[in-house]
Amino acid sequence: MMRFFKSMQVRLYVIFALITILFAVMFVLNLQTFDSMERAHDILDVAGLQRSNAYLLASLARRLVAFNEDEAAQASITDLIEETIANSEQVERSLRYGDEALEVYPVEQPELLPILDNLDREWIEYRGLLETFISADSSEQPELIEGIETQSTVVFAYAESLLEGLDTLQDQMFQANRQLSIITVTGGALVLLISTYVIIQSVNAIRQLHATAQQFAYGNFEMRADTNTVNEIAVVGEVFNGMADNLNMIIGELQVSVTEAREAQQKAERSDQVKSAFLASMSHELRTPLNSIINFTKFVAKGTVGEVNEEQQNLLNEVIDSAKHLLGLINDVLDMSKIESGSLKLFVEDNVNLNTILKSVVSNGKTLIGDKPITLESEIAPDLPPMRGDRQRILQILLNIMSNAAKFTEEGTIKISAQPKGDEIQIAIQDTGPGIAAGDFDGVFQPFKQTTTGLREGGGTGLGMPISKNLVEAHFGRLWLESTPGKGTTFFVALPVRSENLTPVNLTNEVVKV
Amino acid sequence: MSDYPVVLYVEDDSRSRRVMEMTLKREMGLSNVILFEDSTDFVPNVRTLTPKPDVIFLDIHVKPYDGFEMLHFLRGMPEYNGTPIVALTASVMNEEVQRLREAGFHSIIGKPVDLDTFPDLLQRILDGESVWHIND
Repeated sequence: MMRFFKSMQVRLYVIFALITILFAVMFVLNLQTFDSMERAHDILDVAGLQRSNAYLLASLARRLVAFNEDEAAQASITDLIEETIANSEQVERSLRYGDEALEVYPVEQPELLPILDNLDREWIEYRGLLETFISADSSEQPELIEGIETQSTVVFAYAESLLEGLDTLQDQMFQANRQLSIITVTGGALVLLISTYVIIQSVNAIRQLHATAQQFAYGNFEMRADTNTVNEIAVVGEVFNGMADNLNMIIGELQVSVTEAREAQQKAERSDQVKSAFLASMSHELRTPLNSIINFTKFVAKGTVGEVNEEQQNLLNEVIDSAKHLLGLINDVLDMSKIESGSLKLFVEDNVNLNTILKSVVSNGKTLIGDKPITLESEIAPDLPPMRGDRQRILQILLNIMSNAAKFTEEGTIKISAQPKGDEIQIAIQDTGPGIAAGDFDGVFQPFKQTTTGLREGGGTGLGMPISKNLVEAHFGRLWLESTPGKGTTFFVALPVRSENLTPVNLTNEVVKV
Repeated sequence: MSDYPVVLYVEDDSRSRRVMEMTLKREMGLSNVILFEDSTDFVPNVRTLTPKPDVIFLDIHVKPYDGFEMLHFLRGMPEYNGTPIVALTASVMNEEVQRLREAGFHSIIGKPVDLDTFPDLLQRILDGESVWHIND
């Protein structure tokens, strides 16, 4: 039951009904009052008529006596008297029973009925006297006048009394009407108050919900709507609360996920750090002995610590070469380890001079060619734009390709060219070596793969190309080859001049991870 | 034999020390070569060294104070304000290079040291050039 009245709709209907009832009641009561007053007024009129008729008849009677010589006058006065009597009779009746012709309602008020009874009685007597008078001889008539006059006064008095009573009644009705108006106005005011209260309550319920939702939207996820309110709002509130609970739960889960993700990331970072530290340590341990191997051997071979003969020198140089080769292998294996474990990082700078790097590559190439019958040509654009990249690694890439060309080519030409092409610089190293079959192209970039044309010459690690490819791609460039078996091979390197994806290192930045 | 430059080298691997000694003395004919085998020696003595070094080479991986700590120590000494301090390191990872630069090393040379290019590098360092020579 309570729930029923908690509905805004129901409340508004109730208010509406109350107002309607109020109006209906007002209307009906007004109508009634008006009706009653009209009736009273009519009866008043009629009663007044009766009162005046009382005296009229008396004066007519006197006149009849006064004109007793005049036959014509007598006749007309008598007619008049009779007419008046009839009229009064009708009126008297109407007072008692109502009269349609006169449009009069009977007197109903209990306090007036005794007066009416009296009036009726006196009137009947009066009428009797008058009728006797009319039918009497003109000689007898004067004696009857006194009786008539007396009776007329009585009748008059009672009629007057009735009138007064009716007047009082009318006043009372007036008062009642006024009281009714006051009550109606009060009732109206009450209804107004109730409606205002109900409306305010409903509006408040809506406001409350709004405030709750607003708070929630601002991040106070503990807020819940009050469901102990108007039904229509309560329902919305429940939906809201359900949604809020859901959101809360989701937020909770998200927070857990974020924490977990953060922990996972930290774990991965720690793992990376461990790997990096390990590789750094390996690097150090492996290179340190080679420092003494290579350099001590050099000292001896150069004759710094005493004379050496040619054969000794030769052998020592072989030792040095082997040691250098070993160093190369160590470097490659370390690089590959870094790449595989994701620890390789580029040292990106913004002003790398490719011309300088290419000069090194060319001079290295000459050394590697040695005294093989190979011409080294270069077609390098003289003012290559400054590049964004890791200069050491770019040198490494190009040296690797050049050394392959030098190792695999027995005679002919090695040509290195470099041109800007759009937002890239394209470098090509072309040789007249044995070439590579198309089916082997992919194998070139895989670790430790041998070509179908035979053993890898010069005893490379088989890692140089895969490492170079990784390095090129770390620069967001491309490395590919073209080749005709028997004719030669050309390796192409395209590097973006200034890749948006590379962040140059400044003193506060982290290096880019490969 | 030349008195200049005076070279100081801190290195814990005895063979590497010997390589450097032979390079500087025998190959390059320098007479003033000071060697420390670890950083415990280095710290108390460096202030009072005579003759004062013109260039200092530090192996990064020494104990108990590593190259960075030694550098920091040296940077706090006004006597060595203009002296180039060179990091010598066998493990050259890119982030190490970054760290070395940020720490304030003048130059970086990677190990194994290349005998053929070392004299030239030294000269360039003494001339004020910031050298970054990693490998090959």
